Amino acid sequence: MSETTTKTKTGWLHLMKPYFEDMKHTMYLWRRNKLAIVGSVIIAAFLFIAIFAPLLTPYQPDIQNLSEKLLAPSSQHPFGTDQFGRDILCRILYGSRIAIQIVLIVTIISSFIGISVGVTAGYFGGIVDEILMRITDMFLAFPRLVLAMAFAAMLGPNLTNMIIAISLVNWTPYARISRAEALRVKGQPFIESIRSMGASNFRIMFSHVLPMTISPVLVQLTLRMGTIIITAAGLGFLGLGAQPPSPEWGVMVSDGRSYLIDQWWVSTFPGLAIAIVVFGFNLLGDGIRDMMDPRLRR
Amino acid sequence: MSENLLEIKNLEKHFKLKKSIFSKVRVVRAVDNVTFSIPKNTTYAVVGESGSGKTTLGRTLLKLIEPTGGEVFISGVNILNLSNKEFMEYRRKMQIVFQDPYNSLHPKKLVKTIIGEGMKIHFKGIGEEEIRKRIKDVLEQVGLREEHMFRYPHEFSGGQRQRIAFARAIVLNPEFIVLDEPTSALDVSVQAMVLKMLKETKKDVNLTYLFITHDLSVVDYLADYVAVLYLGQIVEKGKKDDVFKKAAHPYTELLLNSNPIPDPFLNRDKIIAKGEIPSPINPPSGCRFHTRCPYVQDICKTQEPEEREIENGHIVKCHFPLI
Amino acid sequence: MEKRGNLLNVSDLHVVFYTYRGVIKALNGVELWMDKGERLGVVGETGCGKSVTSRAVMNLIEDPGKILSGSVLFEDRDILKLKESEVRKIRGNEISMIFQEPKSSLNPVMNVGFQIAEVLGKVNNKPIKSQYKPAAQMLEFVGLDSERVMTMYPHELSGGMAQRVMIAMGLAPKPKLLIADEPTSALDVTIQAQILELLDDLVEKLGNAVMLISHDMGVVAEFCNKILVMYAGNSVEYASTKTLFKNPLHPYTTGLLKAVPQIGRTDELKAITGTVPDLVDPPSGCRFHKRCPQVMDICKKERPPFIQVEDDHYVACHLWNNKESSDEQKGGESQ
Repeated sequence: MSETTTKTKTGWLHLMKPYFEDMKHTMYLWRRNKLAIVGSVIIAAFLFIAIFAPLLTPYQPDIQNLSEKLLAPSSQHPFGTDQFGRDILCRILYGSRIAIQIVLIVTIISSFIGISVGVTAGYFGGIVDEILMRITDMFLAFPRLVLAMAFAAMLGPNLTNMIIAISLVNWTPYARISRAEALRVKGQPFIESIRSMGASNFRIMFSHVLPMTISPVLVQLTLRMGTIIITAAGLGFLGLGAQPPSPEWGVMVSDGRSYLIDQWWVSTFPGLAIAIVVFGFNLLGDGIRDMMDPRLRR
Repeated sequence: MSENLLEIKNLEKHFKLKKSIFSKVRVVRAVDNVTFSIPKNTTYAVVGESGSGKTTLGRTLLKLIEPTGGEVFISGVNILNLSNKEFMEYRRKMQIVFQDPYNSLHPKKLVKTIIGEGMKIHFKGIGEEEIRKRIKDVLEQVGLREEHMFRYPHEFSGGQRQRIAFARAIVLNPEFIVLDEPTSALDVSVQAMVLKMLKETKKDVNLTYLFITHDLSVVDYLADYVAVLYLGQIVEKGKKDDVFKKAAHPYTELLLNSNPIPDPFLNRDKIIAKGEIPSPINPPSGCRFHTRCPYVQDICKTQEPEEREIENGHIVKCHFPLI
Repeated sequence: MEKRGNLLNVSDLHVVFYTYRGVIKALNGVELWMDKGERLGVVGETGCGKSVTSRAVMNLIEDPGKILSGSVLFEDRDILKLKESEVRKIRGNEISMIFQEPKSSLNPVMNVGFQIAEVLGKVNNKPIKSQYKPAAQMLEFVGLDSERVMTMYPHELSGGMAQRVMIAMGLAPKPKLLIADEPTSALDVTIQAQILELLDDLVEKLGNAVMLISHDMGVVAEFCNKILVMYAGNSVEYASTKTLFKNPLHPYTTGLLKAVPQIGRTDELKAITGTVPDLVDPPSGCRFHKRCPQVMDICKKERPPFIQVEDDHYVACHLWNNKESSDEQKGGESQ
């Protein structure tokens, strides 16, 4: 029987193959692009410390030790201590976990919202498109941070609500992109073909159109990660997000506000951490954007 | 047998074009009052150039584009009157193969999924094994192999992709297939392979084809009947041999003559029509071909010609047929 | 290196393209030549390298492509060895080119009159403003109503009209060689006939040579007096049109001719088995060997040279490499 002799090859890896094919060309360009490489290195380091944080520091992020408070950077405390005697380097390392959590969850939620809206709008066109796009415009009309602040304040200041607030503000570009892809793809013969088979609209949208939006949305996701971190840090700084004693970097910067002049390290190091990681994402994003430029893409 | 599978009567598709809310509504008569019948198990070719409406015609028959008028009878039933649910059974029986091999197959899906999806839609509850077996059968029918079903479209050449597209079309056991310029984008040697496959499969599986093309040599190879379209209207139709050997319409004559013949020893006089092909948005008055016709006379400019039968089914729409 | 043509001699041309999949060995030692006033048809299927060859003749191969070796002798100068400033004097002047998609080859933001006048200005070394009258004459020459068309923009033209404009621009400098890369493939068949007729007429009058690149055997049969068949980056057969159709020697040419449908043809079409090879990893020896019905052992090992077999008839095939087929047993070397 043929079923037993033929390998089925429908495992996960094989099903992801066309996306990997897209990646192969991308990787080739990646290697030729210095910006992207530097960015990748920074982000790789970021991921590394997030995963291995407890192994990289002997201290705990939330244990207070008032006898060691506000110590300057030294070999014992490379980034110094804060007003509660907690080692700052250690808190930054643990804070990276929170940062990653925020980035990942926000990305997942906002891409889900964005793609759903975009594909529906693009596929149906007409009045559905108009309504959905006007809703998108409404979200875009407000400056992102202000709107996020408004949502965070409405929902109540804690980490979960902050994540929701940022997600609600972050989905619009994904909607735009997936709508553009849906528009491009809906006239193609492979969609006409499945339509002529009598497939339902739902089936066509989610099984045929949506997969085509994944690659371009993926690019945009990476570009947005830096902004997510900044927004989160901003909200944390304002007290609208994670609350102390969380080692979230924005909260840490806020914590050190009163000590800025004499004990500059309390705010500065978390600030630097934010800056470097965002810089890394931006470089990566710029590199990706260059690669996506059709003129440069060979 | 000469029983008709499809009877198309006065089929019409008009598109409304509006540039802005201030300009007048203009109408593109893409398919204008087209009537013809396709006998069972034959290949009926529809030829034309840009603006002829041949592509629109193909899609209208499958209701991919909704016609604005006319009737399409399949075995006596007017499919244009059916509800979506009633039409589902006919969808299974009527399939289409498109011109562009690079965009007819979903780039992110396995060949197995592409071919098998139709079965999941039409044969609810069909088992996975049954689907695999059927896909294997059709792949072998089109000259590919069972293991190809686990690959992606980008791993195949243009000719192979068209064969996959055709496999997708026949997997549901249809009666009728619209072939919309299926070989125009392929290299010569690949085209030959695909054409032969089409010819053989039709015999094996009892199919009826509507073959849309601009290439008369391919029509000569495959078709039993042919209809010549110009700006949305049929100007001549009939058995292929009649139309090709005894072309009655000046446009048919022009098409046959313009077709480049790969034979340097043939010395023939070229008929070169003057002028451009008019736009279907504003077709010429009277006989639509009058602006380019070498035999034009006054009446052609004002009066639309009627259809005349020359002999058994060979019909021409011209004031002064050449035969 | 023999000089086989008195106008153009392309010898042993090797061109590659560097891509993420690897190195595409696009041209593998192409040989091509033309005499003055001659009409050469270059035919082949996808990937045969006909377009790349035409670009190489004008030294227009750019990153990621690279000309590895070979020469392009135009009259007596090797275009590949000239300085860019020298080549620019030849391009658009002594050698000009027209393309498949006329509307994309014309500048969309300038009107037709300006574009032709610009070409003439460069050629005659005169200010563009003075060239409008000759530009209008050129439009009449190609059968267009100059009063109407001079001020039109490319997007307002139909396919046939745009191609006529391209021809006007191509022939305005009265070039010695006009390269036409699939000039009618994007046109309707009745318009194609018009354009080919026009080209035929004008070329008769001007006497320039034409290199017509096409995949359509019918078009080259009607327009060209010599034909070069290319396959997967190599020249495989060259002969006068009548000789090629009557007596094709290369198995690929024979296969191609048997696969072309023709009105009135009674014998069944025959397809060539297999597919065009991947040029990143091309077959060894003769690149056609995997599909050749008459393949021999040597075909897998050695690339056959492009040699003269009869009067004005060249083939790259071991079947016709006399020394080869008889020496096969002894394992002799080809010359």
